[in-house]
Amino acid sequence: MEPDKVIKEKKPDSKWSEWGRLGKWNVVGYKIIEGNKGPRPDKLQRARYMLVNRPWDVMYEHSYGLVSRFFEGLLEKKLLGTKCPKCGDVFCPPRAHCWRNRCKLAETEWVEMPMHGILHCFTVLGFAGEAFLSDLPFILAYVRVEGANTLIAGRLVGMDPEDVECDMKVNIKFVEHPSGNPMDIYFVPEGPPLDRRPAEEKARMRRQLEPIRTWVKEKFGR
Amino acid sequence: MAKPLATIVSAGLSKFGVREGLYARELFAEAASEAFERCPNLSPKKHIDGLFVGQMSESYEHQAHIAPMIADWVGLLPAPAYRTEAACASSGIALRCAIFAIQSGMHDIVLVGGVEKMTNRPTAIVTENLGMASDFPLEQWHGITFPGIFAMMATAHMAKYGTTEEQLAKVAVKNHENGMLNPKAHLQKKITVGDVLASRPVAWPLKLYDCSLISDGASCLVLTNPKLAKKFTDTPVHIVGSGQAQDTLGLFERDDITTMNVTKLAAKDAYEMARIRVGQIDVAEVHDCFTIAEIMAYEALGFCKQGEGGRLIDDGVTKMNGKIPVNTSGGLKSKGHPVGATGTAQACEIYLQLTGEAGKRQVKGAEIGLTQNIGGSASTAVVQIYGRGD
Repeated sequence: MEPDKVIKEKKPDSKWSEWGRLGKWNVVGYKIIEGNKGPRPDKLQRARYMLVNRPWDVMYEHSYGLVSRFFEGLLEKKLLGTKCPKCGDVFCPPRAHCWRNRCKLAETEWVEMPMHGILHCFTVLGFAGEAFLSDLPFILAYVRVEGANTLIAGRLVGMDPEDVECDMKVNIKFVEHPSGNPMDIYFVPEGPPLDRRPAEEKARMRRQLEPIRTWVKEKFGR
Repeated sequence: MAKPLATIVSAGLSKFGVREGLYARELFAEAASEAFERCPNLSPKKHIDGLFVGQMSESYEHQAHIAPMIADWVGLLPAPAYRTEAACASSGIALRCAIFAIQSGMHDIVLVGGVEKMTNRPTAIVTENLGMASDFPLEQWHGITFPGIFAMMATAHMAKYGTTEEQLAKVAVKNHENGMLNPKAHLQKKITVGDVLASRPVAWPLKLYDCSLISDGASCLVLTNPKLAKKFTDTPVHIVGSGQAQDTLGLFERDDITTMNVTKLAAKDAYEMARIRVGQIDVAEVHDCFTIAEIMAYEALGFCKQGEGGRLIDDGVTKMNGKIPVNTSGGLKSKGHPVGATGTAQACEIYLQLTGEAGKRQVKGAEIGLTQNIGGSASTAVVQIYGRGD
């Protein structure tokens, strides 16, 4: 059996090697609290408990499996999808096997996708997981790349959130330095706003997003 | 009505909310002790021969393999114990598994429930934990959140059917009104449509008040073979229909994201099995993790036609005094959403309604109830139909 060989590699910065060992699950802080105990709000009793803080995190390593070619494509700034040789359905993001029973899990073939599509739906995030808080507010959209039977997620930039609408045409772009992450692609509107949303709704959204912008500026200085 | 699959003879619910100073196992014990107290003829250790418990995530307490631990904490060792996971439908499928166990004859009397202890971790971390029920890497890595996923359904529903932010807000207002009547509810607070519209956007068009709560809580039921029920209670509640269906994990591979297809399929099976028509439902608990989810549940369960969910809430049909009161408990929106506990907590509410023990929120003469519990972006849906036993 031939041994595995590395075709291409980007080594993580050595600072990440410490990641999993940093906190070691030590108890680095605690609180002893007297609080209320009991299921019935009208019959609570005082009880003491202890809260502890333990730093812990992990470095993930996982493979992109049978659809790794898609992520290699991102590194090369090529948007790839897969196509079922039997029924012709096109998947972008890719599936390694067709989704239809009658195609009996046929293995799909790689195809290059056009860099444009239709925005199916969207949301404007006002809160997010920790890694994304400093980017708020941002627009996420599901786009149907032309010719695909599925939608692909990504950020939409270059438009005010209040102007975004379902069914807009968008172009797909690559970030300057792709890293093999689904976020290597993003969407930009192809033309001017469709301008079908009521003025009142747009004004309300502007008002609603203002405190989030202020919060992010204060917390992250951007 | 069809003959029962299994029978609920008792139910217990912990107080939902921020329950600092308690482990998940202790929350579950709180729910179980209520269920045991309610059923004096039941000698738990002697009668209960199995435990099914739903829990979504090990990461809140860094504790896997909870089934034996829960069995221990409620005094059921060495009875076989099983943990099930389907994100927010974890205990919904636990209940189905318990029904199978009883139907198969392998178990006669089981304790089935769910638990989640979520509030110790910062909201941004809980958001990431819950996000694990969406597709990794193709959704999570874009910074998508569960509010974000349901917001996608909402913008699509609004574009296709003209559903409005005000209609979404009315779902929250209704469920908060109901929650005011439930002493176990996490948040007892009256709100107006104006409050909802003015609240902070979490994932537009969903604002803070469109979203359910991050809560700690546990729920459980004592489920028996229908033949044994009379030994334990004079007011049994039978499960007469049960359905479940699955869809793609990611939202991006669905035919139509404005329809909750899995709920439709699960409901069809449950209605047929129960030999019940939608018009016969007296009270329902549906999965209102976000206001849009309740609107889409109305449509998928057949309470109205596809696309008319917004109008149904406008017309007040699902209010406490309407034709089909929905989420009398306050729903996930006001009662709270400790995700693993939600499925059987819905069943607890229907149990209370059908036995006439729902107190200030009692729907008069309720005889037939329904629960709808979904997991993830409705990748799992479980629908059960219940009938009052006489």
